[in-house]
Amino acid sequence: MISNFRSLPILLRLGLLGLILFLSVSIGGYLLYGLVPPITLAERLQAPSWHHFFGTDAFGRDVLKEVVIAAACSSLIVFPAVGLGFIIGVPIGLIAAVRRDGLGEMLMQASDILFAFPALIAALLLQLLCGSGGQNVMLAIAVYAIPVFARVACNHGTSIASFDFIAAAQLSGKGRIAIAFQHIFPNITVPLLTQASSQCGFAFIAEAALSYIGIGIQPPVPSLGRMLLEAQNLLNIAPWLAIWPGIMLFWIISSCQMIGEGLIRYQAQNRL
Amino acid sequence: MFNSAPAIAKDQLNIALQMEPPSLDSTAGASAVIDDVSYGTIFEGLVRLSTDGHPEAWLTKNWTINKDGKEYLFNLRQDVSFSDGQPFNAAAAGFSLNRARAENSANVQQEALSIIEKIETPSPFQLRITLKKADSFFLTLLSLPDCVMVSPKSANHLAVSPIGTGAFRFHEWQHGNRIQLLARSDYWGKKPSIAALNFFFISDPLAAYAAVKTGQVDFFPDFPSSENLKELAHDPHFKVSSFPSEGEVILAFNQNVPLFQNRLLRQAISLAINRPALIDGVLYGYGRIISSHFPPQNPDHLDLTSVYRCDPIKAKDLLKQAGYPNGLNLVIDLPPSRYALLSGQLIADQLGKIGIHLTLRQIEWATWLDRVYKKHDFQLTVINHAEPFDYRIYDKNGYYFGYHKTEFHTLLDQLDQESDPFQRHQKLQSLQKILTYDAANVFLFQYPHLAVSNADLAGLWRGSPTQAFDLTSAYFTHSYGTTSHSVSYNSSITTHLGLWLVATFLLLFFAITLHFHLLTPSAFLKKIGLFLLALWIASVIIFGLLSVLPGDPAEYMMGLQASPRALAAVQAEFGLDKPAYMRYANWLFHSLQGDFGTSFSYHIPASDLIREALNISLPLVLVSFLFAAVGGFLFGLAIVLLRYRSLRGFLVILTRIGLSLPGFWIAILLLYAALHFHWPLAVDHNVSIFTLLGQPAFYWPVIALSLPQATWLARAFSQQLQAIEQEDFIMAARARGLSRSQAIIHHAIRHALPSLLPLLALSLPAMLTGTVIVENIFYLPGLGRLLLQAIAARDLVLIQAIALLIATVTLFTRFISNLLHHAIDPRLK
Repeated sequence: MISNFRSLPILLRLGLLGLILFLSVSIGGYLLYGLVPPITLAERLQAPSWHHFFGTDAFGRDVLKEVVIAAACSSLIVFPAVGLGFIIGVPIGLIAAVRRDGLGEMLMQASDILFAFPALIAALLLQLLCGSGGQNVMLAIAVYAIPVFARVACNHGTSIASFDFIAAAQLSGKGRIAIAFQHIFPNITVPLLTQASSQCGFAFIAEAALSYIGIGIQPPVPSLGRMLLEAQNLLNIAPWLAIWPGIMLFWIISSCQMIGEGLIRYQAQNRL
Repeated sequence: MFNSAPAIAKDQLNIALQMEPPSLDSTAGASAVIDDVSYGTIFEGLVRLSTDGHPEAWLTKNWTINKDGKEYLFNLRQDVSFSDGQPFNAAAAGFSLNRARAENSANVQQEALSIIEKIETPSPFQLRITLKKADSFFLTLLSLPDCVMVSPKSANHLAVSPIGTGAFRFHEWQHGNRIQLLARSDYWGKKPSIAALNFFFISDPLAAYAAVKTGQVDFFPDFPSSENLKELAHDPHFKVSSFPSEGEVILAFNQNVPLFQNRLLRQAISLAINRPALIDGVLYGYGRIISSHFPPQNPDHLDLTSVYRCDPIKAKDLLKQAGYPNGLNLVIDLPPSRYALLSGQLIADQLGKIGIHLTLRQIEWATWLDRVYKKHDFQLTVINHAEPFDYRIYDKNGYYFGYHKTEFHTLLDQLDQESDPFQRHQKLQSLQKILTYDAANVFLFQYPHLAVSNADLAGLWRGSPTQAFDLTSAYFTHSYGTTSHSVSYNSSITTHLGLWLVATFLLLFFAITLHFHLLTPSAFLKKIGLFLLALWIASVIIFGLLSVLPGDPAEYMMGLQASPRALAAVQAEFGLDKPAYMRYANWLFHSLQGDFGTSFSYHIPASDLIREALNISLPLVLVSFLFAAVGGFLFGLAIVLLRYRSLRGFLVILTRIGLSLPGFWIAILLLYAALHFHWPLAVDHNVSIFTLLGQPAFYWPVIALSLPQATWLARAFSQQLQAIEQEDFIMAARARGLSRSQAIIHHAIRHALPSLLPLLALSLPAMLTGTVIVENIFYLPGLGRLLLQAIAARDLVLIQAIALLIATVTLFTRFISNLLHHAIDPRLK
C-alpha cells in the first residue's frame, strides 16, 4: 500500500494533486452555484473583469460558474463510465487470459470487433435511438472502455499466467477463475490503473466532443463541449469564451495523463 | 493606378443559404430551400405574387375569371421555351398541373390542387381551369413554387436535372458545397445582368461571418449569425437588411392533453414570458413581437401585443387560479434550430421565475416530426411556422398542438363564404383576437430574414408572401478591376482519388507479400476470415440500429403537409415498405457491388456523394496521418537521442501538453488565430489534389487532426525505445563499441517499430472519425460533415454507407497492421 505520499514519483503526486483540485473545484462549484447558472441578459458578453473573472457569455451567465459546473457534470459522466468499462472489461480479459481455448478467444475477438466499430458513429446511433442526454454519453464511453480494459487485462494477464507461481496454484487445485482473480489480477493492477487514467483523459475529450455536436448534457446545464461550440460562434466578438472550457479540459486531461505516467514510474521504482 | 484594361463588372453572384436543398425540384418535397435556389431562377409559374402580395402575370399574359368564380382562362405567353429547347405551351402547362394533382403525385399541394375539376386547352396557348367550387385563394395557390411549369419531356428527372422556363439553367451541383446556375441566352424576358449564380451552403454562424467578411459571398438572404450583424452593419462594404418573413415562432402547448386545455395555465405562461428579452437574447434585437399567428406586415394584422406584456406577479396569480399554487414541472422539446435552442433556455429561465420548472430536451428534426408532430407526444415545443396564411392550422383536426374552438371554426367558415374585402378584414381580425385572448399558443416573435449583401449589389426585390428573392434582376453597381474568372470545375478529382487509393493499397500489398513467407497460409486465411466476420457483424449492427430508429424518413423528406398518398409513393420508391430482413439482404447484396443505394435526401447514389466528400476527407486524413506518423517518429526519436537533459525534459513536457490538448480545442484556437491575423481560411477544394495540398488553409485542420496523434505516437515510441535500450542485445551492441545513438538507430528502432503498428492502426480510424468535428469547425464539405448532415436529414441510406465505410476502414487497417506486425516482428515467427 502507499504509505508515504512523498515517496511517490513526482508526476503521480502532481497528477493526483491536479485531480483532487479539479474535483474539489467542480464539486465546490456545484454546491455553491447549483446546476443552472442564472441568466442576466443585461450583462451579456462582458470581457473578463473583477466582477466576472472569466467574463460572461451570450446570455450574461458568468463563465467561471459555467465552467466549474460543466466540469462537475463531465466528471459525473466520465468517472462512472470508465469505472463501468473497468468492471466489465477486466474480467473478460482475465478470463481470456486463463482460458486459452475457444471461449477466451471468442471473448477477445468479440471485444476486438466492438473496439473496431467506430466510436463516434456508435454514439451518434445511440443518440438517434435513445435521445440525447448525459446517461447515453456515459453508456457510449463505458461501452468503448470495455474492450480496452479487456485487451490490457488479457495481454498482461497472459504474460503473468506463464509464471511458475500460477502453475503452482493450478497444481494446488485452484480453479482457473479463482486463479485469474486471486493471483493474476493483483499483479496487473498497475498497468490497469495506468490504462484507466489515460482512458479517463480520452473520455473527457470524448464527452466534450459529443456535447460539442449536440449529444450529451442538455441545456440549461452547461457542458464544456457546448460552451466551446457557442464560443466558436462568437469567436470574433468574445474570444475569451473559447479559452476557459479548453483550459479546464487541459487541466483534467493532463492530470489524468500524469497519474498514468506516474504509475508507470511507481511500478518501475518498486521493482528495483 | 495603371489600369489599362477596361474594368469589367463582376458578373458572378455568390449566394449563401443556410441549408443545402435536398433536390432542385420544387414540385416535389416541401423544403423551402429548394425554392430559394430554383423558384424564379430555373422555374417559373403561371402567376407570381408581387411585393404587396397580389397575383401578377408571369408565364401568362393575362387571365379572366368567369362570374361564378369557378372558371379561369389563362392566355399564355407564346415566346417561352424550356432550357432544353422544348416549347412552353398550353399542353405543357396542363401537363404540369395535372402532374401536380395526380393521385400518386409527390407534390405537397396535391390535396389543395384537388379543388381543380378539369383542365382544358381550347387553343395551343390557352388554358382553361374549372374548379369544383369558387376559391379566392386559387391564384395564390398557382403562384406557389409547387405549381411551377415543367416540360413533359424532362419532368421525370427534375430532381437531378431541373429544367424550367426561367432566366437561369442548372449547370452543376457539388454536393455539400455549391450549386451553379448559368444565365440563359434564350430567355423570354429581360436578360439578367448576372451570368452565373453560385449557391453555397453555410449554416455555421462563424463560417457565415467569415464568408461574408472575406467577400466569398455577395449575398446571404438568411444570415445565421445575428450576433455579428451589428458589426457588419457598421461596415460600409456591406448592406444589412431585415425582411419580415411569414414565420411565426411560437411556444406551442399540446392541447391534446388535459393539462393544457386549462386556459388559465396557458395565459399564465403567456404572461410570464418576456418577449422583448427573447428577441434581444436570441436575435440580438432583430425581429418583432407578434400577438397571434399573423405576421405584422399582413394588411389584416391586428396588434394585440399589450395583452400579454410580461408580468410575473400577475402570471403567478393566474397560475394559482389555474390550480397550481406551487408551480409545476414541464418538459419542452426543442428542434435542433438555433433559435429554438436559445429560446428554450430563456423560456426556462423566465418560467422558472413563476415557479414552473422546465426540463429542456434537444431533439432532432426526424424525432420532432415523429414524436411531436405526428404522435403528439410532448408538452411544450418551440417552432417557427414559416408557411404564409397558415392560421387555418388552429382549426385542423389532428394537428399537433390540438387547438379547437367552435367560435374559431364558425368564423373561418364565414370567412370562406365572404367576398367583401372589408368584411373579410373584420373577420380576419376577429380570428386573431380569439387566438390571442384564448392564449392558443404563446406567440413569441416573427422570425426575421436577416439579409447581408455586398454594398455594390443592387436590384434585388423580394416577393411576398412567397419567400423568394428575385435574383434575375440583380446587378453589381461598381466595376471591378479584375475580370471575373469563371470557376473551372475539375472533374478528374475522382481519378486522382482512385490513384491515391490504388497506390496506398499497392504499397501495403507489396509490404505484405514481401514478408509473406513469415506467415503460414492457414494463419493468413484465419485472419482474413476473422476480418470478414467482423465486417459482417458491423454491417448487421449498423443496419439493425438504423432500422429501429424512430421517425419515418419518407415523412422527413416530404415535409409537414404531405398527403398520406404522397408518403406511400415515396416509401414504395425507396423500398421502405418491405420488411427489414429483406431490406438488409438487398442492401448487403448491392453494397458488395459498390452500390449503397440512392440517398434519401439528395436523390442521387450515396456512393457518388461519398466520393465527392472523400475528395476532401481522404487527402485530409492521409496527410494528417503522414504528419502524425513521421512527426511522432522523429519526435520520439529526438526525446531518446537528445543528450541534454533539460532539452529532453522540455520535449517530454511538450508531448505531455500535446497529449492533453483536445484536438477540437486546437482547431478552435487555430480558427481564432486565422480570423484574427487574417490568415486564409477558405479552402478551394474544387481543384486537383496537388493544388489542394498547396493551400495554407488546408493545413489548419491537418494540424488539429495530427497534433494529438503525433504526440501520442511520440510518447509511445520513446517509451518503447527506452525500454528496449535496457535489453541485453543493446548492451551487447554497446559492448561491441557502438555509441548509444548508433545502437539505438541500428538496433533498437527495428525492435520498437512493430509496437507502433497497432497504434498507427488505431490512429488512422481515430482521425477519420475526428474529421466529423474538425470538418465541422473548418467548414469543409468532407465525409464527417456529410455524416452529420445525413443524420440530421435522417438519410438512412447515406448513414449506412458512411458508417459501413468507416467500419471497413477501421477493420481493414487493423487487419493490415496485424499482418504487418507478424511480418516485421521476428519474435512472432
